[in-house]
Amino acid sequence: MTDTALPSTKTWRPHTRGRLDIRTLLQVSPLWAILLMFLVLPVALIVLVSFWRFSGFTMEPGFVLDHYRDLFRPSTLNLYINTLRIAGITWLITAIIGFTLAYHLTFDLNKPATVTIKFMILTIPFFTSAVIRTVAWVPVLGRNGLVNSSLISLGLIEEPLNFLLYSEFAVILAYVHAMTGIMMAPIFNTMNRIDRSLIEAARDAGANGWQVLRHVVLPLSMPGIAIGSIFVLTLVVGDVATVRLLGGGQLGTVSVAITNQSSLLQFPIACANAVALLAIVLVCIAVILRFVNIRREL
Amino acid sequence: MANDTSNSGKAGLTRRTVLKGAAAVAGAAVGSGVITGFPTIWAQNIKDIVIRQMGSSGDTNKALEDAANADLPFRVQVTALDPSSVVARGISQTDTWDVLSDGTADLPLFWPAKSFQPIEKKRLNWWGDVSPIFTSGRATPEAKYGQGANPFNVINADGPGIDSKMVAEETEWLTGAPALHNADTLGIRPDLVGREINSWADLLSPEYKGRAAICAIPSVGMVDAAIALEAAGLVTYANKGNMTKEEIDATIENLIRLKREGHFRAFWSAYEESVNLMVGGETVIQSMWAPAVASVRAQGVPCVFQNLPEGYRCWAVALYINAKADGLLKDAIYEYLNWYHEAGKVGASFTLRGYYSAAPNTVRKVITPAQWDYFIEGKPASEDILDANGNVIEKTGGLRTGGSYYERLSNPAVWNSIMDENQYQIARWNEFLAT
Amino acid sequence: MSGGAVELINVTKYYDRTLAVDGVSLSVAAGEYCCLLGPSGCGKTSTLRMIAGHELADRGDIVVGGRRVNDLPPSERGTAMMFQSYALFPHLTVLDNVGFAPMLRGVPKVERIEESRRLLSLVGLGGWESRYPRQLSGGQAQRAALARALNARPQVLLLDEPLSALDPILRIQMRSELKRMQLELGLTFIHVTHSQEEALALSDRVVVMEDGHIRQTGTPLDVFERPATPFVADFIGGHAIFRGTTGQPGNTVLPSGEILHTQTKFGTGTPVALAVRCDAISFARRSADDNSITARVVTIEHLGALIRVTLKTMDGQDFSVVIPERAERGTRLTVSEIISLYWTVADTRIYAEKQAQPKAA
Repeated sequence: MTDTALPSTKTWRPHTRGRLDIRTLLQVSPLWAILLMFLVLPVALIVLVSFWRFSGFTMEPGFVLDHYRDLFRPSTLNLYINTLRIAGITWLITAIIGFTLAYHLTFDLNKPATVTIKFMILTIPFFTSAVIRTVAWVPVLGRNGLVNSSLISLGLIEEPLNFLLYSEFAVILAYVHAMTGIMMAPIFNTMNRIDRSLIEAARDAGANGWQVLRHVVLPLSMPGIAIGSIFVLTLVVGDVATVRLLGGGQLGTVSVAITNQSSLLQFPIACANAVALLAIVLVCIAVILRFVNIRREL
Repeated sequence: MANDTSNSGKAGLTRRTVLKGAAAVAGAAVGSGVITGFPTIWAQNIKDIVIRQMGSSGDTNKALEDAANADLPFRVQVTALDPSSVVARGISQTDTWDVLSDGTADLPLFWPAKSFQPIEKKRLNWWGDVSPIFTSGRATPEAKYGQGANPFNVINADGPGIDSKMVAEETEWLTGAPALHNADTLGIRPDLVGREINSWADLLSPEYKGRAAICAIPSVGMVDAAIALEAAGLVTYANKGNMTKEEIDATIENLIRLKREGHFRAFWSAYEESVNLMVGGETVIQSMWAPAVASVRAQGVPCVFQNLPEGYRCWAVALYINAKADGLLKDAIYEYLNWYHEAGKVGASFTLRGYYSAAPNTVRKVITPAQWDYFIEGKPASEDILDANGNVIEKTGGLRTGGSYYERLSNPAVWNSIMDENQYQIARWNEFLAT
Repeated sequence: MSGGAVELINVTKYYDRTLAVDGVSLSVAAGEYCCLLGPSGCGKTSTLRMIAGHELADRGDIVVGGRRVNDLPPSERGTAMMFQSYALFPHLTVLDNVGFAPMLRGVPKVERIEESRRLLSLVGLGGWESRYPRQLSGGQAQRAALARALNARPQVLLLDEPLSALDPILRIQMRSELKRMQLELGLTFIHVTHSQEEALALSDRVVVMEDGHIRQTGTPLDVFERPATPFVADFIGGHAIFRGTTGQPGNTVLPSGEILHTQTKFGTGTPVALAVRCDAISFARRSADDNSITARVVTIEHLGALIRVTLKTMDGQDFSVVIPERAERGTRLTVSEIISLYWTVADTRIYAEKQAQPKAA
């Protein structure tokens, strides 16, 4: 009896909290291996190299803080301020538009078919390549582009408006265009799950439209807004192509600086910037997660 | 030993694909060998060899791959990268390439990595045809030597080992096999500039405010700016190819001032962008590369690569052999390097885009006499000049400014270089962008 | 707080082209407990939501506390609604949920908290102020929802299936609490339910609805004793229904050929339904002119002191009777047994089938 019972209890022993048995470890090991190889190791390498010495043409292992000290030069800080300003403005605009669109899809439309069609229309731009979407702005915003020539032929302006293209305006416009959908989708997802009777309950308690939005829809959409914000923030901060193509090469962000440094193999400096940027993004995400519980959405 | 295993592994990999159609491949190899007049006696397994060339799309592209594979009994495979990543991948992922194509200006950056083997000059059959720039640093005995990294300073190695040094004198060994080179200047829209452009200083002229551009690649754009600033009398340099911190500061401060004034419409980072700027009328004067000018003209938009008295920003690109290549692969690479110039096709494609082959004479047998006269001799077009795609880029009677190959390359203002202070240069350039 | 009367005059509601509520008229006195009873889809919830202002009536008038409220927003109608799923705001604590309406009105925080606490202890949720809705049990959530609705200071409380989400024991407990609360506060309650038991237990007035129409309005006793239509008799429960055709005056013929004595109301050959209260049917003939019917026993359910026997007539009509357990001991019923059942002619109510019935008062 005991002989036959023993193996079966061993195999079928229920999991006890806080104790890892070998099977559990084996089951999670592929994930750990992938994370280790493709996330932990590269990041560790970046952190490591950021302390290496760099002398003009070569880098050598070491532990120097020079590259981090350089981050605090006013000129370098400017790069960070630029990056965060662009990300911040993009975030604000995409959040407002994304929220409004999600609200429209969720509450203004009655027929599921209409919702699906409109959602498709709003997300179709994402089926084209990001570069094409970005480059497509050039003939629209250029000196002889669609906007300028229309404004001139309407007699509203005499000289083409230069700020439309190769400017921070153009970059932010392209970001907003590219990322409003990314912001909208998670907000729509969250908003769509708000029980309609909550809105009626608020109305019943005397809330006007604005108060329903402020006290019910907005707080209950926060997880979606948080997820969208994390997407937008990380995408904007990590982008180089849009800044290059539409910023006219006159716009500096941390990612562009990192690219410039890497092109001349100044890896320790580039790594220090990458670490600093990563830290800033992680802090932003931590702040977002501190105030919004997104776990229910995942 | 590691070399042996990597080679045999590679051969094994390709053999699988080759086995399927071995007869056909062998036939094609022999046949093409006969047609092009290259040696037909190859070791039986040469057809298994694959030469992987990595570089940027200007010279490492599908056209090169197709031409090489049509002529040679082994395979050539190209990988084109963003110019800024060629060096980084070249030295960090040496297993991914056999031949690297990159500017000679970058040699001080990557040669110390010891990932390259010097090339034996005597095995390059075309060395007699190579431009004098690579044997003396000057296109003609009277030519200027130019500031910055003249290719002659870096193209010779002092020995056959991977730890050899670059020396500015003729030796038996090369760091790289010269591939192409050129002299860059300002591109202008003659229909829109409204006057004669006769100095680099005109790039900074207030009348072109908001309609000028320079290259956004810091090591190139800053030199373009320096030539213009010096021409305008705003900054003087001891060596624009190797600026001091003070010279970098002066350059950046002027650029920041110009940026604040809104002088530059844009800084372009890929040559296609410079084409779009010109074609779209965003800019009327900008630093440019030859194929961009040709591309603008091919679209029917007037564009001139303007010869200017201050001279050109010159550069050269060479092919470097991986230190690990040996045996049959190394033999094949030498065959490939010989074909590269002896056949003339590669050089011809460079020429028709406005570059110059490192061995200019070798293209003569491939292009038409009219093309030769127009591109190399700097003579008026005796007939409509076509580019490689058959587009008319010059009507009969048209003329390139700047004269012949020798005249252009005799007047280098600066050779592309990596400055000793490049760390400071990039830091300040990023600062300029952030302003 | 005191109750307000509610009056519906010819109220009609369409969804797209579907008629949901068809010319409903109803008056509920101030302080009354009124239940809207009916099967799903009968229009009872639509009617409630029109009173609340969450749906707009396509025709007709809605009067609350003497004011026509058709065009007023929900919060200005003097009504407050308790939702079926309670609709507590998940992101707010119980206290903030209850204090939601005063918060919107701009009531100072201290005052608001005090009042909310008072209401929470009134509904028996004192001490749970800082919990979130997800931390409450079903009964607690219902109490919180009730406190929140009361805090809107309504004259009329509208309850949409308030007990349906609760387990049976809690349901009976909450039912009596609702009734107690209503009596204490003196508010008018309009309560939508599909449970006749709930309606009979709670209401001062029961409104039975079917297909967007009111079929009967009255006290629970009225409705139970004198159902206005066979539907009402069936839905309110406790009735056996037999369908047949009138024969000679004073007779109704069932499909089985059995003849039952009825009042003569309709001409010969009219399809009719007969309703008999289940507790009026016995196994013993008490008088010679009693009606009788033969039926087969299908199931026997022991309900303690009572026994419910479901039966099938010879022509296949299902019905049930409820008899004292002691009576059954004498007869010893077995399943599938064929027995005779008896009831008096006075207990036999007759309705014409498929004809609109005049509403009983």
